[in-house]
Amino acid sequence: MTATLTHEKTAEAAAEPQAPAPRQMPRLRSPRWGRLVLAFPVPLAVLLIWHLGVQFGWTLPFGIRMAQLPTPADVGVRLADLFVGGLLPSPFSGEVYQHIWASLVRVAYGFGLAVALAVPFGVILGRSALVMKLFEPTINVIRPIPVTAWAPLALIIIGIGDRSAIFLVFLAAFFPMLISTAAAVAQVPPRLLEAAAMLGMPRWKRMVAVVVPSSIPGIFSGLRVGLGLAWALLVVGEMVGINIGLGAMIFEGRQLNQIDLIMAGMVIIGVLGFLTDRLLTALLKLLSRGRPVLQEVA
Amino acid sequence: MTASVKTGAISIRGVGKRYSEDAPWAMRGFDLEAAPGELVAIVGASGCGKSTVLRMVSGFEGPTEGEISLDGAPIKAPGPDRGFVFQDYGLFPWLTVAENVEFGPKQAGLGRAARRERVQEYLELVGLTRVRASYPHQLSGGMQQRVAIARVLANKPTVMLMDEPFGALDALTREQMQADLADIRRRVGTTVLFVTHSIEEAVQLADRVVIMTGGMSHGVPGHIRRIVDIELGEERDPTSTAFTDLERAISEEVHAKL
Repeated sequence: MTATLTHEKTAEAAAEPQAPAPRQMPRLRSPRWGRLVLAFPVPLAVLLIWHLGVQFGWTLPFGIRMAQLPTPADVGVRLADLFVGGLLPSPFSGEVYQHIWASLVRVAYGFGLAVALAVPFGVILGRSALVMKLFEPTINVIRPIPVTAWAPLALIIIGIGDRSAIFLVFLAAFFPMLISTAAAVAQVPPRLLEAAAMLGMPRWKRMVAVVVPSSIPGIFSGLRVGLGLAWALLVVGEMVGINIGLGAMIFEGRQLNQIDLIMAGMVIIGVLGFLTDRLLTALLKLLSRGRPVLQEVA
Repeated sequence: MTASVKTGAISIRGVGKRYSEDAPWAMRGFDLEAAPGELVAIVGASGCGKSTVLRMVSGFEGPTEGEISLDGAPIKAPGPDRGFVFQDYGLFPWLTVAENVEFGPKQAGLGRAARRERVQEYLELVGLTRVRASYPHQLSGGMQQRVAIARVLANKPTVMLMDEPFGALDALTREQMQADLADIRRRVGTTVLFVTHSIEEAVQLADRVVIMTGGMSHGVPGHIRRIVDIELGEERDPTSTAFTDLERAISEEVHAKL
C-alpha cells in the first residue's frame, strides 16, 4: 500500500491507518452445487406425492379428488407432445410455440404500457403533494376492484380479442407499479435532494437524476409484482374469444376435459413467469451497469 | 486554486426563524458579518438554532424575518456558490467517488476534459485519487466526508457551510480531518461557516467563535450570546494555556444560565 501512496500527499493514510481497500460486496450466493442439491428434494417429494395420490385416488381437503388428475408422467408426455409433437393425437401437438409467442406478446404490450405510464406517473404522484391529493381518492376507490372483475366489462366495452386481453394485463400491472413507485419516490432521503440542489441541479432535473436512481429498489419490486399479476390476468383475458394463447389453450383443455393439457399449460405459464422475472432482473442489472442501486435487489 | 479573498462576504442581519405563525421563535435577532476567507465557528447546545442559521445561509430554508446576503446579493435558493457539507455526507450512493465530485461541475456545464481535470484537482486536494472509482459505501466515514468536501469545492464556491461535519467520526479521524480542513482552507481561501458541538474543534479551527444560547426548549429564542476572536495563529496547540483558557471561557458561556 505504501508504495502506491508515497507519491501522493495523502492524508487518508494518516487519518485511517488501515485505510480499507474498497470492500468486496458480500457474497449472497452459497456455492452453486450446494444450492442445486438443496433445490431438488422438495419438488421431487411433491411429484412423488402427486403420483401416489393419483394412483391411490386420495381425496384432499377442499374435496380435491386426485383420481381425476393425470400423473406427473402424463403431464410430462403432454408437455413433450406440445413441444415436439407426434406423441398424442391432439391439435396442439408441436403447436405450443405460437401460443407461447401470442401470450408473450400480449404480456409484453400490456406490461410495457403499464410500466411506461405507471412509473412516470408514480414519480409525479410521490413527489407532488398536490397531485397526490388530487388523485389519491380516485386511485383508492378503483384499486381495490379486483382486475378479474374488469374482465366481463372489458369484453363488452372493448370487445372480444387481443385488445381486451392486453387491457386486462395492463390494468393488472398498472396499479401495483404505480403505488410502489409513488411510495419509493416519496421516501427518497431529503438529504440527497438538498445535496443536488446546493450543487446547482435544477428542481425538474432532480426528479430524474436523483429521485429515480435513489428509488430503484422500490420501483423494481413494483415491476416484479406487476409482471406476476400481468401473467395472472393474461390467462383470464385469453379465456374468452381468443384462440391462440396459453390461456386459450388451457380453456380448450377444460372444454375437452383434457386435464393433462390444462396442467401442462399451467406448468408452461409458471416457467414463463419465472423466466420473464429473471429477464427483468437481468435487464435491470444490465442497465445499472453494476452500480450499487441494486444492492437491495437479490 | 489561488486564494481569491475578495468574494465570500456573508451578511446576516436581524434574522429570525419560526416554523409557523403561532409557533415560538426558534431563533431571533441574529446578526453576523463574515469576511471573505474567514472561518467562523458557531457553537451552542442542541436546539439553539445553530444549524438553522447554516441552512438559511444555504437557502434550504428561508428566514421568517431579516436578511441574509452573500457579497451584497440576497440569498433566495440553494446554489453552487454556497457548498454544504452535511454531517451524514449526503453522497449519491449510485455514483462513484469521481462522479460525485464531478456532479457540480457537470451542472455548471463544464466540458468533459475540464471536468476530469477538476475532479483530479480536488481529489488530490483531499488525498483520495486512489479511490476515485469506488462507491461511497465502500469507504470509511472519514473518506466519505473527504469526498463530500471535494464535491463541494469542485464548484469553486465562495462559501463552504459545514454542519457538524466531523460529528460522526471517531476521535482520531476527527483530529486528522480538522488538521486537513485547516490546510485545505489555507489553500482554497473559501469563507467557512462551521457548526459544531465541540468547543475544542471550534477553537482549533476558527478565526471567530459565535456562541449561541437559548432555543425553543429554553423558552427564549436562540440568539448570539457572544462572539469570541481566536487569535492563536496558524499552529494551534490544544494543550497550550492560551488554547485551554479560551476553551474554558467559551465553555462557561455556552453552559451559563440565560
